[in-house]
Amino acid sequence: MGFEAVALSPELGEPEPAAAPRGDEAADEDVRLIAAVARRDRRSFERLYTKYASRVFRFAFRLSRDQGKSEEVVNDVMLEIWKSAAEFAGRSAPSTWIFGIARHRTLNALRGRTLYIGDSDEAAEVADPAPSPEARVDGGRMCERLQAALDRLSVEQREVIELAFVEGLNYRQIAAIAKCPENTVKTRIFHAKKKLEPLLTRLLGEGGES
Amino acid sequence: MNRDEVRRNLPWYAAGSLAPEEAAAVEAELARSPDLRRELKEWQAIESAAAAPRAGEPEFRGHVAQAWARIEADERTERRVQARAPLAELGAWLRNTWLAMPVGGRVALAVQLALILAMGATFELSQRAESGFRTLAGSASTTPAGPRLSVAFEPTATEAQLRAVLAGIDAEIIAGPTPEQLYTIELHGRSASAEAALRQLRASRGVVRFAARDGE
Repeated sequence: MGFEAVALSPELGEPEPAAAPRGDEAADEDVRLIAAVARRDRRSFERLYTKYASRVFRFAFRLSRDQGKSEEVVNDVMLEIWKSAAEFAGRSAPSTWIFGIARHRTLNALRGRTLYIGDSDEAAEVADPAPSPEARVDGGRMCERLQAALDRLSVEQREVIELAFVEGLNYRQIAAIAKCPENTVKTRIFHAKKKLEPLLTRLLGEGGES
Repeated sequence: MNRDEVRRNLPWYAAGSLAPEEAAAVEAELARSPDLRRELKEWQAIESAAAAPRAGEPEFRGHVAQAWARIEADERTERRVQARAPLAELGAWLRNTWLAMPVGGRVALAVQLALILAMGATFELSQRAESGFRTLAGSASTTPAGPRLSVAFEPTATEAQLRAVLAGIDAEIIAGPTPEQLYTIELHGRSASAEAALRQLRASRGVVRFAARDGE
């Protein structure tokens, strides 16, 4: 199973409902910057680069595990922004548009490579890379072990986790980026958690609710 | 919103990206359900781990200059493609027209093209053959229609006198003058003979200074 070819821009899809409540001001600024880039304003383009390049790199790297390809993805995404800024109609949040391009470019860069580590959406347990008999571990170690487990999820699951928890995008935005129904997004993230559950149980402790 | 829907929104509640009404529904359910509170803790642990910096993950080392270089390279390619576009379009149109044509039509067109090329080649060859002389008056001809004579007129002769003399022997100027003020005239079929024309020309004093067979 692999990713299908996707349309380049979520802009072309259905109008996106309410964007994330946080970051509205940042989104407004991004809309202004994109409009200025459409008028070939180089300074606005460089401001967008400053805001998004490292985020796009991190997103691409966490999907691809390839530093060189991820750097290429950044330049590809910025090129697409420069070329297509005039077509950005503001129906989606700028971050949705930009990460939609980033996802498309990353998957293109990965085409022909094995896209998955572990199972696809099936809820199989992700092995704890450093299993511990201890019921509870300190916060730092818990974080590291969870991160190692997150890295072993499928690409589809990793992209939802990244977009939801790192980029702060809501499920509607993620569905627009991934070109799939909202319920699919929710299913993917729940399958991801299902895989992590044994580890979470060990790390948080049985009956961790206080 | 039922409990299952609320539960499916928990990850985005943990991330703080739910719309206010959705967040309120989650909070109402959280207040009632210890299971949901435990699950929220799991999502919060995942959210913390995902958002935290990763040990050993490479830093982004790119620079905006690289993006500009990529853009400029793309624009150069675009300009080259656009420069070739009209020729490519013509080529595509010709190819498509040719392919859309029935076989009989293709043969007819090929024959027509061959004829046009042959006519063009014939015309070009005739032009080259003519390039040996320069026409001053009358129509030039590759094959002489009659005998040709070399004539020098008196500088004082008028145009009317010249016309009268040439009409008298049914001739026309076809080349000249040379640096020596010689003209080549051609006799038409009605002329009795080159000799008779020569005699008549030589008799035209005050108008003709010199007359001889062409090449003599």
